[in-house]
Amino acid sequence: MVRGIDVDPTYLHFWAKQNAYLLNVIYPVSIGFCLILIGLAGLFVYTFRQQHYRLWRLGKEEDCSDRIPERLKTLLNVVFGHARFWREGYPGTMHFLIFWGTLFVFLGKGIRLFSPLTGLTAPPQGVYLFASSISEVGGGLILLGGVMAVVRRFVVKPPRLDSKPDDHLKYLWVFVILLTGYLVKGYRLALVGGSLPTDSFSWAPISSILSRFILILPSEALNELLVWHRVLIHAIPAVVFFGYIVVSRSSLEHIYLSALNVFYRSLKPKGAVRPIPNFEEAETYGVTEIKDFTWKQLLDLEACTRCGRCQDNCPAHLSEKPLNPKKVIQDLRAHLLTKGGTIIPTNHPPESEPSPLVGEVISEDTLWACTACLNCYEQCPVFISGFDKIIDMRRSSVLMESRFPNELKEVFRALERKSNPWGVEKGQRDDWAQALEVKTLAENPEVDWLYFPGCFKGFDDRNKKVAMALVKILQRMGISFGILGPEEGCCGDPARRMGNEYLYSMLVGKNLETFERYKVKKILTTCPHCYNTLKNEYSQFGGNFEVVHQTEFLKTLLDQKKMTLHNGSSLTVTYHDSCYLGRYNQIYEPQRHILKAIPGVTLKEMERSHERSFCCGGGGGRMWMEEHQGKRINEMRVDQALALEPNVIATACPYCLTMFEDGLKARGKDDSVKVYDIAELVEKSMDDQPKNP
Amino acid sequence: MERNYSTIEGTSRGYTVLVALLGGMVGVFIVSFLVAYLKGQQVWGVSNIIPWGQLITFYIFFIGLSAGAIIISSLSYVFKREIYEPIGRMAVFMGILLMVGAMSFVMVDLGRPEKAWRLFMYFYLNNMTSLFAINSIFYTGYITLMMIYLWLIFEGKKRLAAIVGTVDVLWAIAVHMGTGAIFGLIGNREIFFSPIKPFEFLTAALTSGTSLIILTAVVTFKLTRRVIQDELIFSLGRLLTGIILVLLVMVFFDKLTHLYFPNREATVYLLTGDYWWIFWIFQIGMGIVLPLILLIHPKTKKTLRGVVCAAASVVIGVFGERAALVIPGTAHPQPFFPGKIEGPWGEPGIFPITPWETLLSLSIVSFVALLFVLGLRYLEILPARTGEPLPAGTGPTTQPGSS
Amino acid sequence: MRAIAIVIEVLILMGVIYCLFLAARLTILDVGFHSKYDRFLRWALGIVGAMVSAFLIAHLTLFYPKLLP
Repeated sequence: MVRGIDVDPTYLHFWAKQNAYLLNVIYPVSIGFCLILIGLAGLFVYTFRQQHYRLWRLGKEEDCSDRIPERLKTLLNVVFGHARFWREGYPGTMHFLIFWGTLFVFLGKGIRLFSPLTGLTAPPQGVYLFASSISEVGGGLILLGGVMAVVRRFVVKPPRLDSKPDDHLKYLWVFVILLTGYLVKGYRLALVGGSLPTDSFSWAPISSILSRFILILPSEALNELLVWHRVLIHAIPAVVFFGYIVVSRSSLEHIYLSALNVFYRSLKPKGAVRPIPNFEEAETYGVTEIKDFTWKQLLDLEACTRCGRCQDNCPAHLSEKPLNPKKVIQDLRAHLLTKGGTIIPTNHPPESEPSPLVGEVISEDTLWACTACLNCYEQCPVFISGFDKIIDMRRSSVLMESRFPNELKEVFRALERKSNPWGVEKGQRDDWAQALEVKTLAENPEVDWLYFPGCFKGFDDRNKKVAMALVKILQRMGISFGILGPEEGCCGDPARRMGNEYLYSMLVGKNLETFERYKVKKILTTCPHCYNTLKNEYSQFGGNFEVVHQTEFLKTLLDQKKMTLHNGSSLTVTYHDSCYLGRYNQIYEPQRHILKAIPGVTLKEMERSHERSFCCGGGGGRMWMEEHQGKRINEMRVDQALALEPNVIATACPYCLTMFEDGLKARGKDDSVKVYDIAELVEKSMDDQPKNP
Repeated sequence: MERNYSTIEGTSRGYTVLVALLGGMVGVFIVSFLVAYLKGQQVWGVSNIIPWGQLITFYIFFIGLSAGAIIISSLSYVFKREIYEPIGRMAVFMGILLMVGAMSFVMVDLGRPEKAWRLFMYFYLNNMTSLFAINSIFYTGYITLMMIYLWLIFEGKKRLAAIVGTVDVLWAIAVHMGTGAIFGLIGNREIFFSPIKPFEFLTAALTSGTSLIILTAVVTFKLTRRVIQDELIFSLGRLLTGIILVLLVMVFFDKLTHLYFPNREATVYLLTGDYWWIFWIFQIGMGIVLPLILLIHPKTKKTLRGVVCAAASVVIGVFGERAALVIPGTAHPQPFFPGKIEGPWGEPGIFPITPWETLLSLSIVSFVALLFVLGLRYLEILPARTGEPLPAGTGPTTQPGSS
Repeated sequence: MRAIAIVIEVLILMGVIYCLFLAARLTILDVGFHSKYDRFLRWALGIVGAMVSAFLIAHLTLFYPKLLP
């Protein structure tokens, strides 16, 4: 009796003989495989050290081992749950199938390896039957996912995918391994012939179907030989495949490199740029050569799988600028590999002269085209940031070589002398507040909140209205607040994003001194750039206070029913997520909550909203630089908004407001479509509300 | 002296025609192999009596030819004789290709080539008293060493190359003597059996190898419009003379000893039987006498043509030497129980030259030639074209030939 | 039927050979051999691959099973 069914004695005879024969096949294969596995493990350690670890060691120190439980959690989420992969349905599904299929195959085969220890049977029984079935299913999943992948890469050919010979190879190889594996099983099933157990189809569907078409040899001895053939034709490519992944710089190394990168990703706030350590005594600033990066940044370069999601979402790339985040990472990686050396030393003498990155590996146009929108980091499934490398290279360019776009010279000078990017006299910073009789902290230091309007609200006419709108709301709500007035300096965000860390630290120092003087504990901002740097970056210099953005503040007022919005007209509104509020600080809902609370407003979402929002083009210092190449980013975003035919485009950022107004003007739509800040919309719908006593 | 090496351009019509022809012959190779594999080895004219035919002859011939690589490369890289450097890379490359060719011949001769993997199961599945098993180790090591040697030369690592080259020379001795021992150890084939066979093989390898290098160098340099120094060829010619003399002595004593009991009958068959002409005309005449005359006679030894003719004669002659071993050696009936049971019944075998076997041999030779031409095209093997200064104190140069 | 099976099997085996050789070439180039050897590597591996394929056709034609289950 085998598996509880009555079987033909010839079947038993055959399987009994096969049993003895299997001992000659599975034992040596299992033992051989274990030995090879040990060898492969040793090879892996060696090549890992030679090809990867040694290169990362070129970089500087960075502590990425804090908060291990949280890191493990993300790792498991990404690896097993494929978090972030699912943002795109087709690639997410395809990779999910391939990954889980591979896991099943390994699981099944791994369990099967133990079968000689507990006694071989043929056909496999008990847990080994399950194991065999799992690997069969796994193979099917890989095939399915693999076909999806092949169709996508070679038939659909999305522009963000580039294919090297290694990419062709891996698909063909896995396909061949799976096919030969099914052939082994199919052949063994075919040998049994008519006396196959009736449920074999449900345990091994694919092999069963295959076995119908397989021819067998006339004698048993020959059949045994042919099974050996087939096993070898399957086992040898399979084992060599593992060796290939380990030794060659195959893209399949992402199996461990990307996982490492996910584990070691930065847990600091996304919006916080790393400060230059020991700024006073440092001799170099930023990154001039490849070894100036930290080891984690170098790991980033190796973890990239060239999926291209960053490229597909980068506003600079989509507007045909010379910046392609995937290419930046790959170019740096190629430079790392050639500079860092390879396993077998060649005849070329090691380079002793420094090879600068900017100008040679990354062009200046590329470097300065970045708008610091962080979409590349947000979309990357394995948490690679192109942005931090660009900032580091900008720092080197600005601070070490004084190389930066001409337009920025005036901006730096203005920031340094007048604490604002336009060089307007400091005294004019609070002109907008005069009519509303807002007190400065100098006049009245005993307030709950410091309202920090920022440079745009202080000096840009259009944005002054936003500050006024918010102030009116605050006054109506009876909130105790004050402003710094002429004592307020630029928060420093533009300087830092443009790489001028020295200027930034100077501006921060001045502001912190002022805050310290007035014992500021709570800051309310309207500008997301100020918000981000005050909240996430000032602590690097010793700042310690609570920072709230106007949208969060207003939502709290709404929730606490301190504020009601009753005045509205029927408006179609679309909200543009600003990068520094959204991706940098994950503030997506308060503003939508507020908009939906305004009577008469129909909120429509653009296709690129929330984490996928398309930058207005003003960040990263680009507000002060001209766009000489490609299309205009703000016009592209305006087109995306106009597709919804809104009456109003709502934003919560002065940069976005400015860029949208310019864009609408360029499209000739500035009469029919208006751009408003959230504060303005709220203030309008609060009209006729009696003042709070 | 740092020398530049370059590929050939491969743009001339001659190149294209040559590659096309040789490529066509590779097709012939595949077809002839398929025919023999599917129909059986009888299409080659081999039989139970004469189991080894053209293929084995070519196999041992090619192994011998590859010795030339060792001579030249050791002279230029180990002994640092600069005059030989222009042909150093070419010689090592040829050595590798000729071994590949030899392996092709012997693999094809196997009835079931796929079983060759057993040769690499050292100690485990092998019978280590069989010289074929030992030789498989020698040949694998030889080819590997030469490939490493060539790579080191390409990468300009002169010191390491010299070390590997020295090992290679010593290994080569084992290779060639091992090949000779295949025959020398077989007691039952009287023409084979001789302790001098390993040395004779080594010497014949050196003569044929050197001669092939001379021929290839002159022809290749002429066809690719490069300058080759006469002195290089003459000095190789002088070397050749010495080795041929040694070979003569060996062959003489080998045959002399064999003319006595117990191998007399077979030796008389070799010298006077059906295949006397292979021995006298090819092995002795073209392999020893004619070249010696050309290389010693004052009129011919100083001309390039004379030396080249001598080299060509040696190449053909040594082929004859191999054939004279294989064919009559296996044709003569074996004395199982002398006087009582001979042979197949005491009659010497007849070896026909069949079309399929001939095609196969020629096509494998073409295959090796094709690999050589492709190597010239894609690897920097030949020295860069004229224009470079020649080392001081060297002889007159030939003018680039018209081609 | 047998002929079709032979063709399929030869294709699978050619696929295996192609993968192994391509992997060998990519790995050789990866571990430090100059790309100047690439053309030669491709020719050499291609030729050997063709020879192996020719052999496989001969071998399978002769030895492939003849009986249906």
